[in-house]
Amino acid sequence: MKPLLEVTDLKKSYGGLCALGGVSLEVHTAEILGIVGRSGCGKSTLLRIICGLEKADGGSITLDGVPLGTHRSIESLRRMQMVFQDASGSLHPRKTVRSSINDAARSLMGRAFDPKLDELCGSVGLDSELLDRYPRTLSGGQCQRFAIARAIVSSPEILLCDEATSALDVTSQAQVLRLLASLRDDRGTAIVFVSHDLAVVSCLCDRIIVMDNGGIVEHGSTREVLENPREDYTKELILSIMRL
Amino acid sequence: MKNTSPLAPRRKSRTALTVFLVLAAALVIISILAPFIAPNDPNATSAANINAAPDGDYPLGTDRYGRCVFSRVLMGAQTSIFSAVILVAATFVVGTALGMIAGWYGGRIDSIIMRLADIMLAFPQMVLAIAVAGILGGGMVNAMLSMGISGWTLYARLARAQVISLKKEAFISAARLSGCSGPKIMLKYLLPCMLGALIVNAATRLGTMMIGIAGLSFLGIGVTEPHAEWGSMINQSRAYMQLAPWATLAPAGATVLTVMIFNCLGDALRDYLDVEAVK
Amino acid sequence: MNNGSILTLDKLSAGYGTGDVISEVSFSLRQDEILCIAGQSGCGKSTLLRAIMGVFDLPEITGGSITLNGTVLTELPKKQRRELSTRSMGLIFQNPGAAFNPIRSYEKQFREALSGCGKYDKSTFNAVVEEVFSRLGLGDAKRILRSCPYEMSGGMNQRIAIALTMLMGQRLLLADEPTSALDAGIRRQVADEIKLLRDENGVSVIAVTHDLALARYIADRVAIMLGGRIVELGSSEDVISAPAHPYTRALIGAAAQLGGSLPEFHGADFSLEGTLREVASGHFVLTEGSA
Repeated sequence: MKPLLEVTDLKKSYGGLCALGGVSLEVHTAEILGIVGRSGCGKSTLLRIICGLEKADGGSITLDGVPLGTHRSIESLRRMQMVFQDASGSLHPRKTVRSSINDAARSLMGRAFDPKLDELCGSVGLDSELLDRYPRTLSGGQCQRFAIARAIVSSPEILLCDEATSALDVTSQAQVLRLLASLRDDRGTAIVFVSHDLAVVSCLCDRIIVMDNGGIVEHGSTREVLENPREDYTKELILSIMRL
Repeated sequence: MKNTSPLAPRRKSRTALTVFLVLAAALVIISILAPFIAPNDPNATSAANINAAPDGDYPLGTDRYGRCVFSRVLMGAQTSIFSAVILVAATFVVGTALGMIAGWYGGRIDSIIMRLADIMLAFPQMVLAIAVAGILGGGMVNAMLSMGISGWTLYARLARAQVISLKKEAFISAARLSGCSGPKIMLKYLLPCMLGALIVNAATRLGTMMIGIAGLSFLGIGVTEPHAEWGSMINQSRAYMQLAPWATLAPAGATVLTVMIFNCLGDALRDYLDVEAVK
Repeated sequence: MNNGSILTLDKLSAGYGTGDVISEVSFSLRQDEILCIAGQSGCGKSTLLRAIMGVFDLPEITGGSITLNGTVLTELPKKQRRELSTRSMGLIFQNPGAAFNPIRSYEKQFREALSGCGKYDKSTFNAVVEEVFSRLGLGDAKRILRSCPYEMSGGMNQRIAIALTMLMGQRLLLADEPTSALDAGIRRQVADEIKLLRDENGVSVIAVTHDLALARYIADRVAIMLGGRIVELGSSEDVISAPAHPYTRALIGAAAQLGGSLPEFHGADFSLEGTLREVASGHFVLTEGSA
């Protein structure tokens, strides 16, 4: 099966410091790929380069076989969106959630989303009354679900999540994880889920990539990685998780 | 364990803001209505009343040409306040725009704009103003121009710093991912978030600008006779200080009062917005 | 009631001036015990911790009492209470490094903190610090002391805050989400050090967290909080392996477990009426109806 997104030999360094040293991966439709590693391992940089927020020093990214440059067309932005760690910071602090979402819809689709906003709220599990509130009056979990709503206005085929649940408490985290899984199951969205928490990644993802020092150290299905970790770093990561 | 209500500072800062807003508005209204409320023609000389002490006809006396000091102070308010407001507004707009462009695009554009600002700041303002007056001649417009040449750098630096810190926020990344262009992000996303801090700065600069213009006029390179302006009034009456102190003290008092009101307005605005931000 | 207990809360209520955020919370912390208070955000667990700390102006205590080693804290004048708190309680915050000034070297801050509680001795300072650092496996004490908090990772800052508690000889550690802002890989290390602090120095700990895995790992007893009340309290074994309150079960279901199924949270309305009743030895559950 042809991959939806293919990343080949991506390189990036900041002033001589290597952040990514040749990373390759592929993502298929309707799968959740987890990328796990400690902070500073390059996983967030990888995501920002894939969605075009940062420029790579080398390597290529193709979407459906078509290479993507740094400057993204509206068409390719429509197909790929991102969710960030800072949930309340993801929404314009001086605008209501409704106008934030409508702004994104107008830029991406050329029209406001308004008539269908209630439906969109329902699909992220929120009451549409919350639409007219400002982000600072919402909880972290509510903000993150609205940020996801904003990211899916254009029904993207790929959703990139950068530590999307790391700042949330367990109850909001569970709700956001369920929401992401339902996007995969109902809409066939491909999701790249980056997190430092292997426990969370293992619950949600179909495949796992373990990163360390700007490179991929292990790659396999969730079960393979958990049951037969080959690399010491992966074993260390598994051992460090506290269990219930 | 009684605590003062967390709402108390907010109420206090709002009261202060209201008081100074009313005072500033009163000043502006007086300066607009100056031609109608001035008891005498500010430019009419009267040989019979040279350096006359305050009386019923001339509430603040007359100057060395016998002109009504009170009427001239009122008319001077118009010049001082409006030139300061125009100057601050122009430098605010230009400085903010340049600073935002520098902060957003970075790289070479940033270097060019900010080095330009450094060069402007390297000239002492008064020396620059004298040079401009020497090249282009004196007059109000040239005096304002020479103040504006370095005035914009303050807003540029502030706007640039704000843009650089806001640029990292997730909602700006999200705006870029929804296909917003640079100018659109600057206008719709960045500007609303930093406007508060910039306006506070502009408000506190009003007083400074007023003093600057008065200073230039005092040196004789700003507003020239017979146009009424506080700085030039002080300059021209100071030789008669002992004979007719009112002709110097009235414009000086007006300057101090106005500058104080605008400075307090700036401070009150800052306190109010700070409290809002905390809330 | 005071037998072997270091801290006792009796029907403590507190809030921020607009109604109580926590109401009628009672428990006692034994000597050498680690108690975890768990619940979702907004349940009042951090407010409870701040009420016990008593170093901030808010929350305001509206009822009940806090007794520390026989001294009723809630009856002390504000200033005296603050002094007693800083002397006897170590604090760790969610934001690593919030306990330190980011641009002042650890050495200076350690000296000040120790002088503040009369424990500073110039001749032994270096030796004592080195000893504590090596016990915590923190590595080169001299190099760390010379650095500033902003240069250190979050995990390191948390561990150094624990070291400071050890140095100051405080008998009670209050930790607000000590591991939530840290990488999953480092959480366990910090958790181990909190346990070490208890095992070697006999420090009692109250840790507030939403992470039940942390509670299970370090705590002797766990209290589950919801809407400002404790709904279940017991040994961590009882509460997490045999939860009795429906909310505790929901919270456990929401926790992501390694290789587990997709977590789920049923946020139904849970009744907060009734009283805590003992269902098994030392296992209390909020039950409707009067006792």
